[in-house]
Amino acid sequence: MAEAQCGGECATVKGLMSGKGRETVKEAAWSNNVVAVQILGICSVLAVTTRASNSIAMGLALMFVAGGSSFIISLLRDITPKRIRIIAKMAIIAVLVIIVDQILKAFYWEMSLALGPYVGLIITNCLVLGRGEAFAQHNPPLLSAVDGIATATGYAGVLVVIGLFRELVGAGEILGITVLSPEWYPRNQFMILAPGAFIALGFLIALFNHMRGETAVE
Amino acid sequence: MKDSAYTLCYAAVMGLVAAGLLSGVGGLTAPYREANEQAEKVRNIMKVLGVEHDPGASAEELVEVFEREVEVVEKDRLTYYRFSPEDFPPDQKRTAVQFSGSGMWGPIAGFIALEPDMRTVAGISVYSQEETPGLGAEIASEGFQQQFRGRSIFDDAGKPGLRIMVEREARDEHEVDAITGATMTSESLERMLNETIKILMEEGLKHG
Repeated sequence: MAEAQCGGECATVKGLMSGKGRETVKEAAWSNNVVAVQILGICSVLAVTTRASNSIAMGLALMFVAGGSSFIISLLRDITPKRIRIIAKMAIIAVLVIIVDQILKAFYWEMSLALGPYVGLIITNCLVLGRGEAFAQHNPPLLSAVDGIATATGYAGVLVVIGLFRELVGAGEILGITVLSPEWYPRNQFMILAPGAFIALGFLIALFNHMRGETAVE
Repeated sequence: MKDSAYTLCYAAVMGLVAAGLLSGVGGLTAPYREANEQAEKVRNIMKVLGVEHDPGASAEELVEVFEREVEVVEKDRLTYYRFSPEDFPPDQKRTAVQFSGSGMWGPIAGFIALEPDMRTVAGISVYSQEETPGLGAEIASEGFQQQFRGRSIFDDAGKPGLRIMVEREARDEHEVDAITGATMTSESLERMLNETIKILMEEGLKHG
């Protein structure tokens, strides 16, 4: 899956190294958006965006994990032995993900059922370890946390837009409230299924590139 | 050498801290998680039996309705959940039992309910499974489960013979369609359903 590309691609994001604060946020969430620009984390994007509420929950979970892990990784960056740094980072990420999963199961049961295995799979989401390697490894804790949260916000933003679109077209609802009456709007089940997600994502990337002024790629 | 010792110590401390944190969070959330899992089980039993309940009900409310409406009978190997819907004569009860077994990736568990004739399926539900999302996991979908309603659990020879048809379309009274692309999950589910039906028959005969 996407994580295989991470080692090379995520680490070469040079623009972020010199960025501070606002610049970091803009770069992480917008111009270098993990989903729309780097095309990472697609698996979970396709899986959980059948409804906007799922997208929001997944986005929040990822913001917590990415922000928290970047902060801790950065805090420990000088004392972590280089040879075991990846596995140490994985352990930090895994602990945070399991905490999120347990809290969902305890207090947001319905949401935990709706997200299914994808909360646990945040561990393998490229963006989390990617930011840990590319940014938190070389920057102070707070700035790293900002970068992690901003990157996850970019991810969450894409999730919510696709979630809103699929829910509206597929179920005629927005956040569970019926807006297109079933009397005259037949439900388009196709949008709820995985191919619909690919199409929605394709449109979104096209729109994104248009807004960023991107033309043909060499 | 000194480096290796430091690396080992670092790994050990990290492992301990991680384990400590996880058992702490696990312990704190356990009662809530267990209550939710119990409610989920109860919700599934009531669904297959057709017990009416508020879909937005809390965990406690669900358990309360369950305890009021459903009669629980434990026999040697199965627990029987019995319920008489409003439009049935009071002595006519649907019976639900749990089935479980291993699927393709992990354990599958659910409930199957039978009409008072003890041969027609009133409904099935799957409340725990780890099958492939989009393929095997479709056994948890309403569309797949609805097929079972009204099917017979016996084949023409009167043996436990619920069939989930992989090779062709379902035709007979005891057949339902399998999920395309999920042959192994469908076969596992068929096997565990029939094993449960077999135990049901044996216990039914023994206890009358």
